[in-house]
Amino acid sequence: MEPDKEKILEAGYFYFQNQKFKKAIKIFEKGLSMFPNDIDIYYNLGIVYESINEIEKAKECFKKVLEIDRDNTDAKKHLEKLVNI
Amino acid sequence: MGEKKFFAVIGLGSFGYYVATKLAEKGYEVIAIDIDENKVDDISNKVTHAIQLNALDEKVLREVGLMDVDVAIIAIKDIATSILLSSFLKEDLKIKYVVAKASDQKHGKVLEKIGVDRIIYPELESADRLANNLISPSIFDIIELSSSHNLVEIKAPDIFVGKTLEEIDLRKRFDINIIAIKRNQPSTTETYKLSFEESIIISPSPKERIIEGDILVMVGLKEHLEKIEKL
Repeated sequence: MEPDKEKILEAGYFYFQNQKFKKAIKIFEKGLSMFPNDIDIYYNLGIVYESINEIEKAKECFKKVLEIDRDNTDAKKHLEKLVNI
Repeated sequence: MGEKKFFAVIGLGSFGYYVATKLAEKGYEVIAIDIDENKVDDISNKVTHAIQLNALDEKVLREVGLMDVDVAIIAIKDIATSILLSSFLKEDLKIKYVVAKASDQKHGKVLEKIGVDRIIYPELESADRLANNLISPSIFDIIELSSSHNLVEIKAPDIFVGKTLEEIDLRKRFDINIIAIKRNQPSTTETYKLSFEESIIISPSPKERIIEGDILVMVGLKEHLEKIEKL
């Protein structure tokens, strides 16, 4: 994994664990500007949005993951759950 | 009630499919029945037994042991079939608890007369939920408790975030009780792949602090709850 991407994922993880969700979102969005279409970042951003019940935004992220990797079972699982809300 | 309940789901359209798989996921024994072999195949590895049969064939229904289930869920679109089957399960097989899906009020009325224990209107209920959600996106669910009181689940407004229940004091200000908080807790699994666990804090203490994304489960007068929804 690229060192910069690793840093982004680590920083996002840190903020998410500490329930600083807005900061985690900012980090991942910044990550996407550096690594567009990165499924790891999109997936994590989706999880942050889902955890704070921003359902529509979470759906968009998981859809994006599936656009890039249509067999991604984790994203599929989360999207299916959100569609039923 | 100690023993695990045994369920039957008859009719595997999207509603029946979801109910059956959800119950099975929660660890319950489920028999799933449909006349369409493809639908039975689709669900066969997700439930305890999946059987292809005609739900109006009383002899076969007895043979598969349907009388032993605790709860039967009838999720059949065709009104005549749904009514005949409800009556057979209630009166002949004496199943303790029969739930049936009704397509409209008339269908529901007949099911009620037959003695179906619970009638559900999924289309109506999801339409209500959608309408409420479009009016106020922060509302996740509304249950009418009486003509004057509701139970609502709403996303905590931004102005509540970081404050304790004592500080926002909804009981005094709006005569509303927060009976539970649904919260997604970040879980520590892999650093590079985030995950969370759903938790629910029942009867939260006054010292409980609201976190961004919390869903507040509140009970109160409808007009008081509407004020919170607009915050």
